[in-house]
Amino acid sequence: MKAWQKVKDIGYDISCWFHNLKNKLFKNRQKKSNFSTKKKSQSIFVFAMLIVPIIHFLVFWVYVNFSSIMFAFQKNTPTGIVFTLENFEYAIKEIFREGSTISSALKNTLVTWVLDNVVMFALSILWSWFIYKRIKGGAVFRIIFYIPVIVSGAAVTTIFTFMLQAKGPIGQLYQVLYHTKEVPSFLLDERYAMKTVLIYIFLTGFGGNMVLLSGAMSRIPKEMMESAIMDGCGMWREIFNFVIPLCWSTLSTMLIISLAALFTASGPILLLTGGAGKTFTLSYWIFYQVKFLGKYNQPAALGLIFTFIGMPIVLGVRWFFGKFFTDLEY
Amino acid sequence: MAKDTSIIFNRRTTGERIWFIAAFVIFILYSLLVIAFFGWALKCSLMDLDEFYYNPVAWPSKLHFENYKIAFEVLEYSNTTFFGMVINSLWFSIGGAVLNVFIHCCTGYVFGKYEFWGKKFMLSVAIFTMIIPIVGALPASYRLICGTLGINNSPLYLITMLGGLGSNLMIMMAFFKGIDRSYAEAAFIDGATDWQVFIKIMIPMAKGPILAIGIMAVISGWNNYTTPILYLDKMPTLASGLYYFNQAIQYVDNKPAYFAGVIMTMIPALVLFSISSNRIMGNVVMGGLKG
Repeated sequence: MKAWQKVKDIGYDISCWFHNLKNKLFKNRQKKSNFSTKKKSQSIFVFAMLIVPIIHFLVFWVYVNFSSIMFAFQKNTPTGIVFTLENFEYAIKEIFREGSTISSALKNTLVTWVLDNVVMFALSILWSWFIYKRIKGGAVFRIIFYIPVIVSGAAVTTIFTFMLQAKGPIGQLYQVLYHTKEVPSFLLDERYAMKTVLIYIFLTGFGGNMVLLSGAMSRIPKEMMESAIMDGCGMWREIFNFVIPLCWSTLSTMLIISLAALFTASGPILLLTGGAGKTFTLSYWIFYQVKFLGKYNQPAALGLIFTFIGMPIVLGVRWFFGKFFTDLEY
Repeated sequence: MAKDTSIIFNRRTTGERIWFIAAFVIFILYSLLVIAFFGWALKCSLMDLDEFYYNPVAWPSKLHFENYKIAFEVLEYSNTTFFGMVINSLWFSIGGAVLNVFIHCCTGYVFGKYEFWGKKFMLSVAIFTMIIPIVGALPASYRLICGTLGINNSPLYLITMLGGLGSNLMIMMAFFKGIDRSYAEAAFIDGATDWQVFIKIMIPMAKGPILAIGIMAVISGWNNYTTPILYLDKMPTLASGLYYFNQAIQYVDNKPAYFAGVIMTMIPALVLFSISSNRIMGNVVMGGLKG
């Protein structure tokens, strides 16, 4: 009888153990299935959100750049397309040939970049700081400075072009100042054309960076600046030791993006001069070859050369910024 | 609005005051230059044709507002009237902006709030493409759009604006990263799906930056002239139309009407910016480029 009872107890224990195991397994499975369903729907969501940008990237970046590299090595002959290094030979020769369109385009591109991204950028920081510090009429100035940037470049250049003509206000001013009836062609004459383009860029580009800079400065914690000023921090120390470091994340991003445009800086050459008066820039030369002459190979080779020159510069500066400067969190 | 009495904006040393006065004078001079520049164009647009040819600098004896009506009649390029250019500018700028902002919202949200396989790699690729100075991709791009895909001179061109990995990604990602997780978690507990959280919670919360970059995208699309000149030469927008008129300016008889067209081209961007400048200035923050 006792032995029978023992067997019954063991049987009961086993059934309990199985019951517990079953519950445990079932619950885990349920939990696991809930988890995997959630994970699956999340993965579908992420996939759906990214599929269009990925396809776009593959077509308009990967394929385009691959084709561009192919173009650079190709030449159209009467018998068909042949692979050659002639386009690179031509581009390199032209870069170093004094007085060539490409060498003057390179010079114009670099000058335009320095003006637009060094001089104007530094001035934009200063302008934005004065507005951040609530200079009298700052809100109105901010809008006025931005007007030349937000209205169509085509409209602004049209007005500018008319103003430079003999009957326009600048042309008439020139006649009065130089006591002459002959007004030079500021946009076609080699002596004046590029300078006129640079003046145009200078006069119309002040507001360009102000949206991002004003946004970054307005986020600087007031308490931090207050304690600095109470400790006797002057204007320039405030800009260099507080404002620039505290906005560094935005500034470094803007600097790197502008550096990426080192060889593509152009200005409104198409609208102002159309390349006359030795005003070609590299990107306008490429545009001109493609749009007006239907040439693809030499522009692609020239572009590839400058991409390979620009790439280590940008990556080096980015590395330098990352290594020696810190983005402050606040 | 109450005046901010913080010492940041009020305490200035004598040296600083001199800098502020100098800056104020420069700002005034520059503002006057900008006003005179656009004022001159506005004045030209209201001049009589004969007066304009006699002396375009002189003040008009009578304001001719009818030049604005005439502009719609005489300004035409490639069988597209001025009104047609307005329509082209509208679909090009608004359509492009909507697609571009929406796709950047999607990528910004996913990169800012989700962990997934390949995220770091994709973000690095996005940043790489943003900072790498590609110089000569235009020939290949032109051949692809005008040849292989054949989407030039068609509203289908807008698909090229569905990027999603451009600089707006950094702005949207920085914004979504900053949103407290608890909003989404509370919705998930109540049974919301990822789509519902994105559309019903996150998008409304991101209204500020969406409108800011959206308005900037509309303005930049409205003013863009190179893209329409390259890819939409049979569907000129106002910006590219002005370029074509400028090329043939010696053939445009009625220059005051032409100036009226120039002024009308500027108005939408100006109005849009003046009503939304505070929103744009306050909502656009660019994050770093650390991949």
